[in-house]
Amino acid sequence: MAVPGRVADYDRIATGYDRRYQLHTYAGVKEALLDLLKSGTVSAALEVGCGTGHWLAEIGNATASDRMLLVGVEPAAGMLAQAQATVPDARLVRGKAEALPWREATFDRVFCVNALHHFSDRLRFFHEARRVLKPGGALMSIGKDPHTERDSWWVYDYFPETLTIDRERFGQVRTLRGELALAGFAWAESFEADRIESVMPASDALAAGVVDAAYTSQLTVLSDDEFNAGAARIREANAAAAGQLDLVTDFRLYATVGWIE
Amino acid sequence: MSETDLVVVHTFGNRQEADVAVSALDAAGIDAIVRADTGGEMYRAMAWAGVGFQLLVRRDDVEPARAILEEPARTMPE
Repeated sequence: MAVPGRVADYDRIATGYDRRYQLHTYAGVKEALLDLLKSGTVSAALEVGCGTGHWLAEIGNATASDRMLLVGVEPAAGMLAQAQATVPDARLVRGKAEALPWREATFDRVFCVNALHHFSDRLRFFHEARRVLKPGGALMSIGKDPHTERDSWWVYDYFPETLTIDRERFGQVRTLRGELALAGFAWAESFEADRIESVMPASDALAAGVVDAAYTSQLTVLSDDEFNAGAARIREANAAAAGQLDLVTDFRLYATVGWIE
Repeated sequence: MSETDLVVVHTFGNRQEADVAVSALDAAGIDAIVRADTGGEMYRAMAWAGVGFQLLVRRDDVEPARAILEEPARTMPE
């Protein structure tokens, strides 16, 4: 969960946030979400930490005939402003994950994508999600597990502070399942939802603005000095490789699902 | 709540939206009810095709209710 002093300022990066979706399709994430939302009778679903509304739009397009009400909650006003333009049909509310502004048993599904590590109190959010879910409802959280040692990512390679910070911000997947049980979920499961793989020439990444604080929250939470030092390391390594350095991305995104009775 | 104290603050096109709105108002401490002619829940399309699902609150709660319903993205309680 969020680390004090390492909180991403999403109002600052809102306009460039969706660049990530031009680089990766996240097809596995979309499939996992649709599987969750299309299983059983779902009349209302809530995305917590909906950001720019990217996933609400994707789901809305894929479920247009299902008459499902999509609701998003997000604390950053700048991100919400983007979301309102992206998904004008969704109901968007400014609020925090740890204090969801609805009464008990309002939603059939609650989900969050790459957002859990930003919440200040993960267990409290799980309790809140449990509270607003209807009987038989489910929560799905999709995100990285930087504790697994299975991933390679240029961000961790050239900005070494980011891995340390991520291991504080992200819980292990098995920890999440335990916390769901503590919050009153009847059972929980996890699975690999997506694998993000790419190799991008560093020269292209630098020219295209991929090496940018808005690219991912891992870079957003760094100080300017830390970010500039990492960017300099990439430029130096690229120069040493005669401009042939590749930036490698190969990490997994896990879905953890909790169901209530 | 007596009927005479109630004011329509918003009209929704479907039951789901109305229910979630009631939930949001309830969480803020505002009582609200949904009024819709659905033929005793037999024909929900009646409401959808007619005046919709009307959300009613006490007259004194109209202003805070509208703030929650119509500008939900503007404010966030600390």
